[in-house]
Amino acid sequence: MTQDAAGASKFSRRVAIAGTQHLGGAIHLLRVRFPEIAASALPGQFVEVKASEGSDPLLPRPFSVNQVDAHRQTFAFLYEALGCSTRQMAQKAAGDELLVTGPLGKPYPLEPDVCDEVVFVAGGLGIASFLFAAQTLKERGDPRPVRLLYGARSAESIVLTGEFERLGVRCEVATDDGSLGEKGLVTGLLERYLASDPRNPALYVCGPAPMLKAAAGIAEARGARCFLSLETYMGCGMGVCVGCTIKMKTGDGPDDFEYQRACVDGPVVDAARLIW
Amino acid sequence: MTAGRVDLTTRIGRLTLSNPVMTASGTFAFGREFAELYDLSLLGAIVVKGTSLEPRRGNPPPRIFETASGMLNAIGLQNDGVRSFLDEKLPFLRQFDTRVIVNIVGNRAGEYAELARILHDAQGVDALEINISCPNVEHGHAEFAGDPSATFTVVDAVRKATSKPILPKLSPNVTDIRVFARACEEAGADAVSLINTLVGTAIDIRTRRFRLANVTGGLSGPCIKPVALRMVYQTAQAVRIPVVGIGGIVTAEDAVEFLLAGATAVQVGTGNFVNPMAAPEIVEGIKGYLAERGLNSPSDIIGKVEKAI
Repeated sequence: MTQDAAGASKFSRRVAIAGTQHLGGAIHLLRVRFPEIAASALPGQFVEVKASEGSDPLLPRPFSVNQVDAHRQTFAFLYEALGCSTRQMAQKAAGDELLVTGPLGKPYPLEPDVCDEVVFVAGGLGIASFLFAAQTLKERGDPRPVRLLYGARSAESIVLTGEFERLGVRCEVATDDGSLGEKGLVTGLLERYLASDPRNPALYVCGPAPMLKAAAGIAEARGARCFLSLETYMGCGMGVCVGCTIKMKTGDGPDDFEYQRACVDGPVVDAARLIW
Repeated sequence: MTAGRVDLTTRIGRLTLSNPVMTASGTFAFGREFAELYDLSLLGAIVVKGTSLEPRRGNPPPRIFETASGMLNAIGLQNDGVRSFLDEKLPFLRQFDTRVIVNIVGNRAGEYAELARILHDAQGVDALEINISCPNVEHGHAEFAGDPSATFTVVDAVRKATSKPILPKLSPNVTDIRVFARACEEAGADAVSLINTLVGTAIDIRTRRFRLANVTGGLSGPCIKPVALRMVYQTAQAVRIPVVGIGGIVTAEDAVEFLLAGATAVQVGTGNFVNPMAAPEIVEGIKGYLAERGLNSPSDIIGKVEKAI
């Protein structure tokens, strides 16, 4: 992607919805045809989507790229129809338009030299970005074992595990109510996995803030590399408003930090540098 | 008559723009991010993010919160300082055929003057917007924007430091904005930009905490447009220098309203976040509005609003 020269490496326009799918609970998948984004997005990146024509809600919202179909020039994202913006989205059908901008943000570091085992740790809708990551590793012919540790409230909110299994990802599931997999939190699965002394793993974690914080703590205690995909409240999503800042270490002193933008310096960050 | 006959050239005093659409300070950074979306030469001018003598770290998060048809922000003027602007940001902006207006911010009149002296020598800086109205920093609003004589002092100091066009940006958080616009005119400003954000706040009733770490923030977006439009209308009647209209402009229709109210040019702020393509779409939309009515220039509609009855 072009960083220093002028020229398009992000794209923004109104595009038609190519398809929708209800996956379970309040979770929906929405697919749009956007060839430039389908061709250039990387796992961990997101798009900004505005479903409303008017000013309520006003701002677009960030959604991780969930799957890319390069052949059909489409990509999909997941949403949970819980808020104002996502409930409007749930009213939309194929052919309706959305304002979409992307691809945005830093992707997951999935290069082979990062680790020997790839471990995705997902909480709730945090699952969204990992399917694209697993697809990408498969397409690259990456030989490393890939594992998914996945927690959600209940069975109906556990989605897409079949897709992961088809890609050869080893899945372990936990639910709060025990309706699927183990009863408990995904951090329990993570503790147990790391206690088994895996060989040079890297954790890629996405989910609600308390889960990210807990996972980062577990990773630190076990000396595992850990990358967090932050779900920070964003304004513009493209580095301009400086509203979504996170506190990042620049050294070891108490004042050695700077405010970085979650949208362009993240959303994927090294857990060891993040100050909670 | 066809759209081809419309000429959007806009003069703000000594400053000539290819069209009346600028991007507002703090909503466009230094252009680089938007240059990945469209050709910045489509814009009349870019007003860069508030720039201070020394770098500023900004306020702790949370810094923004969306409200009904608007958003609150309390960024705290995070920026890398004027030297970084000149060395790292200005060369990039100079590639484009647009005007670069630097929004300057300081704690004292002397700091504004120092910034003006530094920027006076910079090739590619076309004008200065004097930010005396940021509500989110310790100094700023209380000292300068809330007191007409302090406003005069700052604008006068900048006027003496540079011959480049200067545009003070006025706060709406005052009783009568016209008094401040006149103080700017007397101090030799080339134009006034208005409005900056309205001070507001929001509370999370679940946690019983303020939504912003700074407690208060600046409200922007479509919800402030009627207030901005009224102030632009009043100010345009009160001063002879041009008025640059800002406040909730998201579409060309919004921009045309401001021109009719008396603005010579407009700035798109929060609209850049709502639709990243808003600014170039507004340029085209204004052209279409004029063409449909057989008009040739934005000056044909500036201040041409009439009473309802």
